[in-house]
Amino acid sequence: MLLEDVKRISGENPLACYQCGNCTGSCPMEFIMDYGPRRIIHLLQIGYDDEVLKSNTIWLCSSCYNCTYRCPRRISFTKIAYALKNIAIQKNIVPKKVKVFYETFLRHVLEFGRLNEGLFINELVFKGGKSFNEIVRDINLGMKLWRKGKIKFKISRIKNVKDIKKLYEIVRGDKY
Amino acid sequence: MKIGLYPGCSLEGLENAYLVSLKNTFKKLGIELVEIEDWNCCGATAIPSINLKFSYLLSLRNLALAEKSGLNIVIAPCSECYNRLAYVNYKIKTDDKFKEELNKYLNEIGLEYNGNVEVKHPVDFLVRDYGLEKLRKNIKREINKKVACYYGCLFVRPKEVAIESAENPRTMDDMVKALGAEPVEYEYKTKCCGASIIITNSDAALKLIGDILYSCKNAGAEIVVTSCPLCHSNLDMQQENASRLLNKDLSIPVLYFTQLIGIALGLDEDELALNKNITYELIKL
Repeated sequence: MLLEDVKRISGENPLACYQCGNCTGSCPMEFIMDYGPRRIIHLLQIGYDDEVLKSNTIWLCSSCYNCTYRCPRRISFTKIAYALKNIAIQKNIVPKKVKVFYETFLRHVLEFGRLNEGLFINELVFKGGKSFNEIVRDINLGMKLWRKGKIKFKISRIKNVKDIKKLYEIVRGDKY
Repeated sequence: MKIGLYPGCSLEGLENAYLVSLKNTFKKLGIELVEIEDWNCCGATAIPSINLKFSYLLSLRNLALAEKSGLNIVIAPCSECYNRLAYVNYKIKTDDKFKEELNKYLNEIGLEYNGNVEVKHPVDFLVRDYGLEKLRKNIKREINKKVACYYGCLFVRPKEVAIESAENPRTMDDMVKALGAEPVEYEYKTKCCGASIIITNSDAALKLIGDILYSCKNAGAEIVVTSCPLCHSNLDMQQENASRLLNKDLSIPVLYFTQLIGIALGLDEDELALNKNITYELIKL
């Protein structure tokens, strides 16, 4: 059951929620979400797993912790959202743009031990599943950054990058 | 005074101006920064989304390296890095089961962390450890401007890592007051800028960015000051896009708090990498 997986990964208990809605009232992204945080927790409680995993909500959480900060039951919806993302990624229910973003980020961490932003933003523009308008906007901004000398292509790599890979290999085998 | 520094990827990348201005400002104030050797990415919001446990281990490795080299205090200038490192540090210090389990993994790469490091955001360090009176004594030039201090999310939330109340934080306001500036009161101090949502849903993030900038301008601010590279790139780099999307004039210079302090300390533009800000042309001091 999704509820149990969420509990195990996040350490949070969605059943403690009494549906006051402080989280949804505090959420900056709620205006474009399929369901606000309160409804996601309710759907988890009553076992509507598919609705939760297929909602755009989990991908719109920006991890601002406003819901977490204001929850009178001390539940962290931010951590619940992280757990839901972990599960949805394992099940491969991920929108294209988000998938490219996370996969590229992970590749940088495993390959370099760091995120090389110059390379990273270039990869995102061209593989990112973006609309034509977004690409035009990105290229315009990119030129401005280039002229400012903000974009560097020098790769920063840590010495013991094999340690990072090893840590990932150990935990990725855990159930979630 | 000698303290540890965890720069983070963004300060080595697009937001290098923050690192340059931080280093020069701290040097001027007599604080020596020692970089953690071989530090790795904190994982930001992307890695916890993929694997929460792996993200904890990334932060833990950094803390272990800092502890190993005898650094008692580490400052993390990026709010995202601060948040990740401080949260794992809090968990290690308060949750024995967490400490035991994660150290078991860390032992596999020959490291261990015992919770002897204190993670601080440089704003917190300057205001509470260094002290504003001491800062005030070093001022060469008063900043006679109205300043909106934008705190964002990650060093005021969640409670485990918060340096003060998230409803109406004051540290940066007190800091700019010490520089001779007048902090303005406005609504969006700790409202999220959208962070990395700018990549996956840019229009939604641009709306948040626009609301923040509008709120600052509406309160009469002449400068916005930030303390996080993600907030800065959103408010500075994306300002024109937000103006266009919301069809409002949102132009206002966005500076790092380290740049504003540097100006007050009499450092020159290059030492503060001021011209790296996209809103550089709007700065009138």
